[in-house]
Amino acid sequence: MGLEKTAEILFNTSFFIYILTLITYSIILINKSKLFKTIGSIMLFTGLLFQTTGLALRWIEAGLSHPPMTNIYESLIFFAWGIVLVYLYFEKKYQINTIGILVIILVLVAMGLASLSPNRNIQPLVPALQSWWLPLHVFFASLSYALFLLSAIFAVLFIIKAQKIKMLIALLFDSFSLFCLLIVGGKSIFLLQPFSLNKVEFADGKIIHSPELISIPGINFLFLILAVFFAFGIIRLISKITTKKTATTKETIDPLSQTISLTCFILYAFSILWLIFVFYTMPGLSPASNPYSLGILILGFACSILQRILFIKYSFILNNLPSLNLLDQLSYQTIIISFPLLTLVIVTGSVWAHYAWGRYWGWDPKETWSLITWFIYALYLHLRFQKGWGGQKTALVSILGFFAVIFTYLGVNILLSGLHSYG
Amino acid sequence: MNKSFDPIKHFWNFFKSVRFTVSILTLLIFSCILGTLIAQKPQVNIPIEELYSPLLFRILDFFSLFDLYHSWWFTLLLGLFLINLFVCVTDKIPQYIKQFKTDLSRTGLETLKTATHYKELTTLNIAKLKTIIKTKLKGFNHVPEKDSSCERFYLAKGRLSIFNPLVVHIGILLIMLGAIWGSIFGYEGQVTLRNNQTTSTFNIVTNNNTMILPLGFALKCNEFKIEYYTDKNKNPKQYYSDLEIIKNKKSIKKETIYVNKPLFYNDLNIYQSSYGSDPLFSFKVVNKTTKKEYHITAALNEKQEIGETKATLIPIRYSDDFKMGMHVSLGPAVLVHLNTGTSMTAPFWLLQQYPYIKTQPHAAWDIDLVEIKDNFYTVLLITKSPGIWLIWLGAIILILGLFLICFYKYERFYIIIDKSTAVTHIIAKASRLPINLENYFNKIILLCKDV
Repeated sequence: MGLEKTAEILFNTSFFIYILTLITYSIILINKSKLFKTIGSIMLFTGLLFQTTGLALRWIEAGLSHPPMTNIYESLIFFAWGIVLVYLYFEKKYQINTIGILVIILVLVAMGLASLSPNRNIQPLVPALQSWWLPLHVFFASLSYALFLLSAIFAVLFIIKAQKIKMLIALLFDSFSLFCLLIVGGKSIFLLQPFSLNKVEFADGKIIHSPELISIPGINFLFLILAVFFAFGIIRLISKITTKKTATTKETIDPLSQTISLTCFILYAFSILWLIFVFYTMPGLSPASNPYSLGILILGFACSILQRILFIKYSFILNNLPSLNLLDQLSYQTIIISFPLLTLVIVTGSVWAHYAWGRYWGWDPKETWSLITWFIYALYLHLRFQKGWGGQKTALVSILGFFAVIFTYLGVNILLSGLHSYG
Repeated sequence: MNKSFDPIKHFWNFFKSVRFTVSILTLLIFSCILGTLIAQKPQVNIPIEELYSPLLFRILDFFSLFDLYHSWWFTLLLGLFLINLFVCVTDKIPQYIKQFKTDLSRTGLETLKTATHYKELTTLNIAKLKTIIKTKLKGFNHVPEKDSSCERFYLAKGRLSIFNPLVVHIGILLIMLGAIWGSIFGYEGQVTLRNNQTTSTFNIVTNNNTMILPLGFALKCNEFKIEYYTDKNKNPKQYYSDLEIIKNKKSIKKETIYVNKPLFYNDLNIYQSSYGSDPLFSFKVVNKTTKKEYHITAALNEKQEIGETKATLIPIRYSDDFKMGMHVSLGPAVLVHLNTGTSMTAPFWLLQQYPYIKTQPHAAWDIDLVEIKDNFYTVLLITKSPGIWLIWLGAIILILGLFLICFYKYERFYIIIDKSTAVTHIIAKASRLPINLENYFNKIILLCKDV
């Protein structure tokens, strides 16, 4: 148990390093100084080292034939690891530090989601998973999903930069913020009691690692405000696109959104302080007992603040982003690397299935969805090669493809039943 | 102008069009999504009819939506996809060969100037530049120009990469051919074996009936064993079957198979699929009048006579954890039926852990459940998958082709020295992904600058 505990501490440390990196990368967005870029990269790399060590320790603890990628918790941590690894490579090669903030937010979200998993301990392997195809299959999957994620980020930024719709970026961060609240609040968000106060529960003298048990007063209220704000934004965005007015050069800050943001800030700060208060006053609890709920809440707060900053420094940030051409090319380049990797994932999976289940293809939902994803990216490549599409049109296909990736990765396990039930 | 209508050419052009490919891919995507949203036949245990209203069920069933991936229209879609692939491949081969043969070294300067990687440098010392090209930039060839005022140097890399897409599509074609081959001549069956049991046939269960096919040899299970994890849940770690293949009463092959390690013999694959158990129950039976003790072992639903008496005992139900009410669990129990020969009694439960609890004490007999012995049988999956080698070959070719597209590109570099204006034009072109050209292009510029 010793090494497993150490590994968890290492994951928590890397999680907090990534949160700190978020600050550096926000500065990179609004500041052109080279110093921060270097600091950011070094911090991100340090986080990656901690995470790598954690994964290695977990592997050592579980035994050589049991790599740390056998349930949804390990798989998400491994996916986050893949994203950071792939992003660092692209950052070094193309100097795209300004997009780092989006990547880190998604890494944190992935690790936060991992923390929601009820089974975080090393579990015995079912017979079907005892194969050397497992690490191969999952390693390629992690890399290819990470690359598809990067491609989608490039595509989103391309659309933001090309469309010059300020609202879009605000909505993006609002949705992150909402998502964070959803992770921390869990079901309690949908209970319409603005100030519910649950007791922290103990089972066998231990604290159950479930954020739902630490109820934060007002979190549902906060969620409601943000959701309404978000819905308003979407309506305004749609009306803006449909009316096709020429973009007004002078951006006005409307007082309503200002007030709402301010309310959100206060509620966020209150929630964070409440959580810290709970952690330090309740017996047997400490920030380390459930670091992710605190971390994710801070992340949500950061997203809200960032959204305001982005709104104010919008045109500067837009210029600071990589050029349209580079974004388009990178969105394409990532897909052209990850497409063979996805093919490898499917092929290694099917060789493995041939040995374990006695068939190479059985139209299992996971298999079918991986094929759907493969078809979508094949479509992307044909539209690009043969039809000469580019820019916003292919960017949309790339984003669509990433939704398929996410559904293949998480949606299938949550919504559909099949043989591939281990993440 | 008299344009005669050629139906074959018309169809050919239709099948090779990008629009057709895109439509087929889109249709395949949507039908696959549909297949994951509607529960497919083998996936659910309850009858599908109960999930829908009769009318909806009939409509869905008419389009074979409960067995979508094997329906006629999905097969048709895959067939069209195959035709599309085949037509594209055969159509593209001459084009690729033509492209491969085309010499691009003489492309006009005006066309080259439109390339994304184009740079103009002023050159004062032409002779020095030429020596630099010859010594430091290896591989550049001098190309004679009609216009004598210009000198042209050309370097081409990776010309064979023109065939990359062909490799990819041939790979997919092979995979599909292998799959068709397998779906026509392949099958999947099952066999259950106990320790030391031998079989020479296996069962194929299709929608409504079971077929029994000969194996072509005798298959014997020498031993089946399970390994458990030592933690509190005691989940199975791995299960093994010691198999022996016997032909003409001679042992041909002995192999232990387990999950992830099948046995391949001739063209049959034998997999460790799962296992089951028919427990054997040992009873101690005492005749209260004669005080005689009998020991009986019986499987579920197996009638056993009690010694020389006319009485019989049948275990009719087994519960690994007998529950009383909601919360009291009494451990393993067996429901038995006793026939004393003269009178019938109602079936009663026997508890292994609590022998003194008698649910229905009998006047003449005293029965105790002494032992429950697991009597495992192994469930083997027997498949024949011809053409699988074609699928693996196709997969290797496909992946190879995709990685070639990624890393192996047709790149062309031009250095054109215009002597009359003392200007050097440097151009780099690539078939795809010009982003990686940069390094070599910049190297050329760096070397040719300030000469």
